[in-house]
Amino acid sequence: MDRTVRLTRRQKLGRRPPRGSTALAAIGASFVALFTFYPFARLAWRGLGHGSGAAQELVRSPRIRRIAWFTLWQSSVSTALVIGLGVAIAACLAGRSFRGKAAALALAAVPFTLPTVVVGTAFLSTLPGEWRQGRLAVISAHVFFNIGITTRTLTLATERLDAGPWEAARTLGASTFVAWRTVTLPALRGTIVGLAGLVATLCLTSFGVVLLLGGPRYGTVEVEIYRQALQLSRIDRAAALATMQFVAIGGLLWWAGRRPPAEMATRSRPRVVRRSPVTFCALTVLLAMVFVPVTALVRRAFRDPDGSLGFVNFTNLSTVRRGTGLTDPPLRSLLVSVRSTAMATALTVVVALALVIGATRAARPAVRRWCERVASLPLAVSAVSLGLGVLIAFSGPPAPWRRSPYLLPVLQAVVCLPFVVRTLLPAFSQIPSQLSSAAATLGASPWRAWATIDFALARRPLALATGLGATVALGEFGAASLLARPQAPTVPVAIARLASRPGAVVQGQAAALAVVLAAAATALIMMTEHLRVDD
Amino acid sequence: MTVAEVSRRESNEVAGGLQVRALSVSFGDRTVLDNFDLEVASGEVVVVMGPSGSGKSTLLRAIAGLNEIRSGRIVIDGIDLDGVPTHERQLGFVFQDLALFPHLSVGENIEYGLRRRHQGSAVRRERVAELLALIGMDGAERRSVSTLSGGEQQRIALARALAPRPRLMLLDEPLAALDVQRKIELAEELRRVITSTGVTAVHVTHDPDEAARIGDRTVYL
Repeated sequence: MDRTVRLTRRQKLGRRPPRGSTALAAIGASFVALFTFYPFARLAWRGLGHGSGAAQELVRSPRIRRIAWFTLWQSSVSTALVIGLGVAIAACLAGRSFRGKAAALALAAVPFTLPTVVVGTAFLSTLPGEWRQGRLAVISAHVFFNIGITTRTLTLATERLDAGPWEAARTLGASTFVAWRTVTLPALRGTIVGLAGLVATLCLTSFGVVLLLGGPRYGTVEVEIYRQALQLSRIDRAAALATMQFVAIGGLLWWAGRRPPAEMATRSRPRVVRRSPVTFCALTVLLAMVFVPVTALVRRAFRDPDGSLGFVNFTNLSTVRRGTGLTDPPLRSLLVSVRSTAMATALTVVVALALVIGATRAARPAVRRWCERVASLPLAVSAVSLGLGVLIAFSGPPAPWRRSPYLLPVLQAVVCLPFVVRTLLPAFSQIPSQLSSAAATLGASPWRAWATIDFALARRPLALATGLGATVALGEFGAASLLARPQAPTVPVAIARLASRPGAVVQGQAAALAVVLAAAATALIMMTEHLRVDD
Repeated sequence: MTVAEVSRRESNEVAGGLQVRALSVSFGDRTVLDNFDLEVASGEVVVVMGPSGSGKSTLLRAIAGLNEIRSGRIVIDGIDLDGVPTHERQLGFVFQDLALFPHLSVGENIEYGLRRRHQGSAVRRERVAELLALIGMDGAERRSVSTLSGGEQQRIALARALAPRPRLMLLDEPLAALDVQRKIELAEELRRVITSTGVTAVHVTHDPDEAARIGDRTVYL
């Protein structure tokens, strides 16, 4: 009798959240509140509060109006090109089965994982003299950055669609093109709108690419926030601009988020279409768009200052050149980046786990939704705005941490957090709660059940999330450009400093360092992709 | 090849109905249909029965041009369909999972095939109303297909396939997902609707009771 009662209690405990999971979620949420919400609130107050005239000044400034117009224009054109080309190429590739297709699509998506300064440096190496900086360069780089991931997502989304409606349309007299236009395209509407929202947001807040390729004439609002804060020391104006940008981006994300998701998401049987020359043309165009700039960057890195092929640019990374803005050899920035990335990744994984435990173990759905929203909060604030907010918030009491060497890794952890949480949350959510209940009936305490069941089952996604977090932290540029100490820049900051100086030697150093960073980021992402495939 | 060209290409076969001659279909090394023959007279409703995996659905998909054939001939109303793409075969196909277009209303689903044949809006409206009356769903034009019951969805799929007045109806176990009582009711209704339009039809099922209720004749695979 006594044993039966004890077993029932354990069963009951097995369905309850492990003791302390709510407290863990609260710790995770406090981290986000302290390093995202608080700095942004201080930023908004500085820009718009206590009778600041900065906002009115900005609205009246012709320069700011011109920058806002260019930001909108380049984002619209880039998004239209990416979505238009992506939809067309995906239509040619979807359903066509051929050897190497998965690998080609995975390779095409690699630019999306490259740090933005690497993309900028690649286009400086690709485009001829007068085209290297300006509107065309910015738009080309944005297309390069986004086209692979867009095409891959659309191709996979098309292939996941049920073949039934498409075949029904064909039997009712629709040609292949008409069936695609009237059945497939409407089914992809939610996916296309979601992708367009993502690409538009990335282009609107583009920083590294525009800083390197915009030149003196063209800048986005994000670059202007940086210039106003760091070059002109107009913190009030930068803060007001960052707040106004947040409202605009928030509105766009809200609009994109309220669109209905993709219909016909279930798949009963895949649609298989015969290969045609168009398939290979589409694939060639896609791979050319992606690999021409990468090849140009690699060639530039291996072209010595005297024009011959060699490793001089790489050996030059261990020397300091005057006028580069660097006080130590560029190679030292690798050490800074590795240390910062390791700390940021460890921190973001810990905070993400705390939030994910809170979200998946919460008894009430409201708590779960709240945890998800808290984890997504850093996405709504651009990295430069976040860096500026941190500079303002932690410059003095009650938290004078501005000069702390740990501030940059903490901020990089904040930037990585949404990506890590979005990888972990589905993995932990999919684990049936009955497994914990079964473990509880077998004598496992709630935490023991979590460690031996949930954690053990989610080890792979955890490794995947760690790799993803490390890739984002390694290439993070927006926050680092404001917070990295002048004598200890991260690799992306060092590349930007080198690439913005004239001279074959310095440009060669920038290309070599960009190749090193691209190789590290690609290796990290390939390792995580390998985990995803094995999973 | 255009519809007009298809219509002009007369065959030596007997005019009217469906003739399938020595049809073979393979998927890789696996042969699903091997030298299969079938003859269906004009206006006749033939039921094809066979166990799972015997190639019943493959037969219909091959006739519709949705699966490639290895060898053989398919002739409808005296026209050889060799090389004719699916959308020019002028068939009606009711799929097992019905495959209604979820982003279109009931009326838009039914008139889809009429639009592809460039019918005017008045003709389309009239035909949709006529078919909705035939299946006992008058006035359902504006309803969303997601709000329909299983039986209603089945009726709409039938109406959609019949709307463009196809030369041949292909029905791939459209009642498979229904419970026994609904299946009996709808099988009789299906028979009534098909025979009232006079269309030639091939119906696939593995249920002998359904075969007896719907078909004029049953063949086994």
